[in-house]
Amino acid sequence: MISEFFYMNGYGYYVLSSFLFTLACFLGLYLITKSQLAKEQNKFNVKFGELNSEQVKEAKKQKIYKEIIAAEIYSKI
Amino acid sequence: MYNKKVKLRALFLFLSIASIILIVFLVLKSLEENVVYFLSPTEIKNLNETTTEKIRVGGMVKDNSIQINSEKINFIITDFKNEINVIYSGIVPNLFQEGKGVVAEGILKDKNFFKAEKVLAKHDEKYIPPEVKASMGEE
Amino acid sequence: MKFIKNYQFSLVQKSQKIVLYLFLIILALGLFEALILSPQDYLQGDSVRIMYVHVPSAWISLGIFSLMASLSVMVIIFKNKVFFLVAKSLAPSGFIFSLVALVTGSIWGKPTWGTWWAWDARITSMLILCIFYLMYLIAWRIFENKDYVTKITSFIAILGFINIPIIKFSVDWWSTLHQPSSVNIFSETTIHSSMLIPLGIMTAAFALFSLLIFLMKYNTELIKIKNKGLDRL
Repeated sequence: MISEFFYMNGYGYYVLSSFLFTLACFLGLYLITKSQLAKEQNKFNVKFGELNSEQVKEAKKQKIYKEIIAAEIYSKI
Repeated sequence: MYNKKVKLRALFLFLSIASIILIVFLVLKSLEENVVYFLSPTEIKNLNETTTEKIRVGGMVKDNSIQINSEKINFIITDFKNEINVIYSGIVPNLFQEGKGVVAEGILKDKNFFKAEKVLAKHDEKYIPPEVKASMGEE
Repeated sequence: MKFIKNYQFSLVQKSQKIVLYLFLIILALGLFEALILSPQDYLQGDSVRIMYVHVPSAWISLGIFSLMASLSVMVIIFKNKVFFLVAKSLAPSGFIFSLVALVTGSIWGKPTWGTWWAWDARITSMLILCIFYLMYLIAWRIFENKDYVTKITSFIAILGFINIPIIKFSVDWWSTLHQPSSVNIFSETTIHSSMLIPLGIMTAAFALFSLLIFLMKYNTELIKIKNKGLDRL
């Protein structure tokens, strides 16, 4: 039964290798993205930890979205 | 209303995209022969001169046309208007069957005779479970 | 040290987790349907199962590129930073899906057509899409100037978008080895319903995966900007 599933009338090698390739790609991309995220989070933690209480207050006032959304107008394309 | 700069950028973008699309269209049009993966038997018949270069012929394998004799396979590719005889020695893919699509790569001997070096099966867009196919055949 | 959650990131993080679990559940369901429950094809046999990873990947890679291209148009016209952050965060999963579509298609081609690769219009245009994704991703790394990189990547996305209708209609315009599309909106779908179910589930799972990667990537970009804000204090 199990070996029949893996054999798939001779197509098992093709079918399973393509499924494994897909899942491996998913896992790889997920891990890479996760590590990039963790790296930035750690940087943030270190920077935030170094702030004194006044700077913390100041940091909380920074509006992240203000910075992102602020449309920049240039005179040329 | 948006300001003038925004409108100008939109216009610039529109013009550049339109011109690029036109260029791509013209390039593809001029390269049509190379973009086409295979020729049909009718197109072969309408060729002005037969080339000795490697070309591909595609169509359906005609019913009851496959003849296998000692490592040589003969079959007929048809597009239901014209036909071409193909001779091939080698392994054919599993899906190579009568009444199914095929693409043969090789050299044209004359307008009715093609010597293939490679045979590929061309699958159609239908996906049907075997039981359903069997009941369709009975109807 | 645990990540400090007093900023706006907590919502994005929570949704990340929900999307991850939802993706895993639907993927498990889809794999079970695709590998075990769904029937064979009368002609292709079991190799038809490759379709359940090949077709959704191709669809989603086309969809993501179209989205990136339209966002890039907005970037160039309105100079809005949110649009390019979204487009940038979408790119990695789109690239992976185009790669998966090419590789699984190649694996399917061997038992079905009898060849790993053919330079027909569909496959070549799909390769060009993959290269455009790669160019887009590399452009982010090689250009230092921020304004310059935004323009370059947006133009790459818009230029690459011309390729999308070519991929879609290549099988209708020219004779190709690749078969015409089976799932159609305006004409009859030629896949039997028992095979459409796993195809739909897998498409949902793959879409959730790209949403997950998008959320993580977008979150990373936001924290990067936040870090720059902290540097200025």
